[in-house]
Amino acid sequence: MNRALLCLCLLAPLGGRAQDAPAPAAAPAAITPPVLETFVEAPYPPAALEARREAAVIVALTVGEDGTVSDVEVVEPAGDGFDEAAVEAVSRFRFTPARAGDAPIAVRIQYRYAFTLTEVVEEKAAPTGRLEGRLVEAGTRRPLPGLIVRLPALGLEAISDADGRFAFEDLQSGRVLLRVEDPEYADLEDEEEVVEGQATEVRYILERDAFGDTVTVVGRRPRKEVVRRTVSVQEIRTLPGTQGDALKAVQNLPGVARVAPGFDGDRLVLRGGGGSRAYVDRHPVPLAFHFGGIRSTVASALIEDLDLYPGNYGPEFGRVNGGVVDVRLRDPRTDGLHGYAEADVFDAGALVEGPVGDGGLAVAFRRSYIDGVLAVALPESVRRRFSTAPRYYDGQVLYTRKDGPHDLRLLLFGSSDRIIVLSESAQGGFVNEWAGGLGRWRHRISDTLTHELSASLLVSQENGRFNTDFERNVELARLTLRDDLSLALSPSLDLRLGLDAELAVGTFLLRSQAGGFPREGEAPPDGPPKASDAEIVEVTEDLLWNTPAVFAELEWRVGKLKVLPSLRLEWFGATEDVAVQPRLSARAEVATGTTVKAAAGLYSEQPGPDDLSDRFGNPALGIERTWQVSAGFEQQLTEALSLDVTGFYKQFQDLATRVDDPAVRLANQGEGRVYGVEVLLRHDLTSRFFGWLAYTWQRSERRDRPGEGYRLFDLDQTHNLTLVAQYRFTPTWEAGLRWRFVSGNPYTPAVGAVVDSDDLTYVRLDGEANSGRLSPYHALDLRLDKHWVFETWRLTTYLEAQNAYNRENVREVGYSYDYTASESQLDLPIIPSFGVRGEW
Amino acid sequence: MRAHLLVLAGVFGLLGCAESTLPVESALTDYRVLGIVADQPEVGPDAQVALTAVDFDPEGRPAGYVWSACFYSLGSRAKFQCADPSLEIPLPGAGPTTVLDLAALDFEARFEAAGPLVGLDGQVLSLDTGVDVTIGLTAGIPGQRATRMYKRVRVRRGDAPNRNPTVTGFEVEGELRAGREVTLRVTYGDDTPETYTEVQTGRAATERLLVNFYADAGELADRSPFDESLPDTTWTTPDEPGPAVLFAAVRDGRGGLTVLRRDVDILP
Repeated sequence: MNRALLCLCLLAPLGGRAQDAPAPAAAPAAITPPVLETFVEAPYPPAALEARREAAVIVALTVGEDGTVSDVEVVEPAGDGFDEAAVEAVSRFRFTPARAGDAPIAVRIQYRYAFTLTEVVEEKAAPTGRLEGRLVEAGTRRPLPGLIVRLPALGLEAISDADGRFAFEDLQSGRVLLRVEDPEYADLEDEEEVVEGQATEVRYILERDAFGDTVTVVGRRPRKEVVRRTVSVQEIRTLPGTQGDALKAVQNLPGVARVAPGFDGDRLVLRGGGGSRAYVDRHPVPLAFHFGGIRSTVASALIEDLDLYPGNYGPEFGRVNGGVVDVRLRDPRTDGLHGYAEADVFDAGALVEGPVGDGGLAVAFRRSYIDGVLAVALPESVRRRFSTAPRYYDGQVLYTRKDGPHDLRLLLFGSSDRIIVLSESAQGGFVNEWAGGLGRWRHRISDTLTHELSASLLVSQENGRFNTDFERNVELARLTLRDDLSLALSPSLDLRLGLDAELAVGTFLLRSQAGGFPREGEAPPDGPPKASDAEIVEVTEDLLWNTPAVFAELEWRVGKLKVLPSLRLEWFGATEDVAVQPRLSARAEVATGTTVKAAAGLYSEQPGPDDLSDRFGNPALGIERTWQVSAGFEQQLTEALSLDVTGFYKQFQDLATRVDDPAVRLANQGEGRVYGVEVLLRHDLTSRFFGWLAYTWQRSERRDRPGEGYRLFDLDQTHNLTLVAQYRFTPTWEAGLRWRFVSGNPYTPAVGAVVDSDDLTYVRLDGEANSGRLSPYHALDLRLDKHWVFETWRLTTYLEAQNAYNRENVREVGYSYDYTASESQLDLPIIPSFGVRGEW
Repeated sequence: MRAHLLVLAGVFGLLGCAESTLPVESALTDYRVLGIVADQPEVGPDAQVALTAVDFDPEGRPAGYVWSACFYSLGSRAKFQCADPSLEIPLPGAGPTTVLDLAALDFEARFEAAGPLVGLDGQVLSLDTGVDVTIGLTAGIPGQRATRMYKRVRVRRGDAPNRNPTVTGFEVEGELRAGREVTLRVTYGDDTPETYTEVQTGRAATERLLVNFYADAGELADRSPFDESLPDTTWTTPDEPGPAVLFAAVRDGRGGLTVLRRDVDILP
């Protein structure tokens, strides 16, 4: 009399819901969902039976790595004894466990237990035919696993497999009613003809009825880091203010400073200061964003998710003393030919993917048309200055193949940003281009031993110039090699060993004003760099940077305590420093839903080529070091709501700062400290809503010379609050908002000027470094999405308004030519935009 | 180091996305020192150099002048701070001109006595490659904010010293009537621009002449750094007839500077 409907509407690997994220809709699920093996029929509550009442109870449960069920909790009760009966029955279910790749993982799912009054057919008719079929999602043609297909009149049901297929054997010939019900999809009911001695094959296209994917991954991998925050493409795809760009979305997370859009808008400043790096599959890329943050240089549709480590990252990363963003690419789809084409106000792109041989291949390309827009929008007097208006493009070719324990990935990718100014009287421009390949081979040697070898080779050029006064050119060929071995020594002890080597060969040219560029705390230039010939300095150097590193990490689990001591040994060839970097992190679940965590570690960073050059910097410089400490807790407040609070402290040592001696110029004499707290209140992606509230309070200070007082870092933002919310009103309409409030940045005020008669320029006299502060920034971004879902493809359009209430945020303080008068220069006003995307 | 951003910031600063209410450099609305002109921008170690402050006050008020010289300045990055106070000396005169007499100041001996000095590029300074003497000038209308200006005079042994640009003409093309657009243009002599050898790289180079225009009335076209090497510009004459003063300052990027003044009458 009672029937059950399986609903994997929320599937979450355990251990860190607050940092979790959903899988991309267009991607094949990286997670293999659990499959119900043993169904237990619940007794129909007598009172309800007597009243002929039907009901459904939605419960949340944990499916362990061994397929057993625990922590069953009623999410949507039905009363009348249904809840207790459902909990009791579900507790005795057995599943084939969910898997991440080949590894079984514990997941949290929801299950809809339906009690229906259906007459059981006591004796089935003689077997005569077979009904088989496949369930796919409308618009994406993605197979739908884990859905229950019912033949209500016969009291039969089947669960669709990973490929969305189901089958009923031995059916009596004739017409049969088939029904598919799932909270994520519109109900399906259809009649099919079963023919004696034949197999009837059907294909059903189900239209999504709720938010996001069936499978919402909110923390794909077991957590070990204390401050890893994961964002999935699906989560931020419709996030206002990001144009669906995954990397841009990290700016909405705690610990990330707001950087005004512009040509340094791609700066990733984490926890107040220090270097940061962007990786793709754990290999560094030279440029993460086009033109200061307009768009990331890797197509978001190829990104599975990305991890942001604002600090205290593990030993597998190094070479920066700030934080890390690691982008992980997904596997191309292999269930047919798929793709998309999209366009918005900035650029247009396309992706095609499908099976090739035994693997999957994806090809993506994007090109901007800002040059075309500017050609229309700018006045002729400005337009004629550009021989190449701002334009960018990027492309990726990704092939993956799985063969038993072997997992192979090959990626060819590249990016180009270019703007050339060439008037009859001046020349200038900017070029940043890189291209190369990345290969990865992962071998699961046994259940306890995994080996991963990967290498990338990228060739890059970064060039900026203005007339003969200034040129900076860096050409590099960078080879990175990683070799990781993961070994389970015992059920409670894992060991990870790794090699992480980088070799960069190239040339460096710098022609600029003596002293180089403004450093931290020094005012930025008010115009193109230029200098009197008397102060022009030029240097050309060959670069050979080798920074091999090895690391080891132990993961020791004692009950609900996890401790990870690690050590990274690194050789910085350019400075000839050996960095011994011990790190330690620990997590413990002290109560159900409550985890406390702490970490500490040492991090090192090598100065750049400018600082190490013998005319602008000091070749005798050593590495900069940072001690980082974090501690906090995570609290699961409800099934979907979680809270993460993390305090942090960073101590910078040996910062390279100016010396008032032309013969020395720079020395490792600076120090700094950053401390604060990050709060992330997050509502996971559910059927209609997701969102988060991210808040960071911090103070970042430094002093450039011993004995000086501390002053603020350039991006010391005391308060940084971001509210993100997304709601789906109907299956085809959704809306989102983002509101940010950030303390104004410090700035160094000008207190006057002296005049350089040879340049006829006014040289500003600076007041106390970063002693001024801009007014607070706040802005609201809104976005409205409309989807049209057709059988085999889907069309999405969106309208977006950035800075919707047109707040006049101050970007910086501008000065008159002689620095005797000043005015506020404003950030972007309200900017409406739109885009369209068709995918199949 | 994100150096390219400096270029981009400058390049796009030229787009003028927002209206500014700040004073414009080309409008001579108050007392201004337009530059210091040395009769020889590059000299030998025992030479005598005449220095003149080219200034203008719309109200014609008398200004005060204080001159000095530093034999070892830390350059514009350090706001021309004199590295060694013993190497900073006052120059004679309280008017708009002064004289730097290197022989009288015993420059060469002082330079040698100071020991090996390192230049802004970290290299040891030598009179064979050139040493800059930095002239300091404080000028202003008494009781008002003074202007502090610096100019380098290169001291170098050898031939072919740099010369100031030869500007043979500063013309106004168009009818000088109120509210009209006219063209201001400078023309150069045959010896301008000069070719020379770069100190830093040893490469042969040709001077790139840059021009600044100024006017005490009317409105000069906005000239970005991309336009500085153009020898002409557009001037919208004042709406009211009367006298107006125009300046063109031509510099060669190596210390050479020539400033021309032209007084015009605007007709109704």
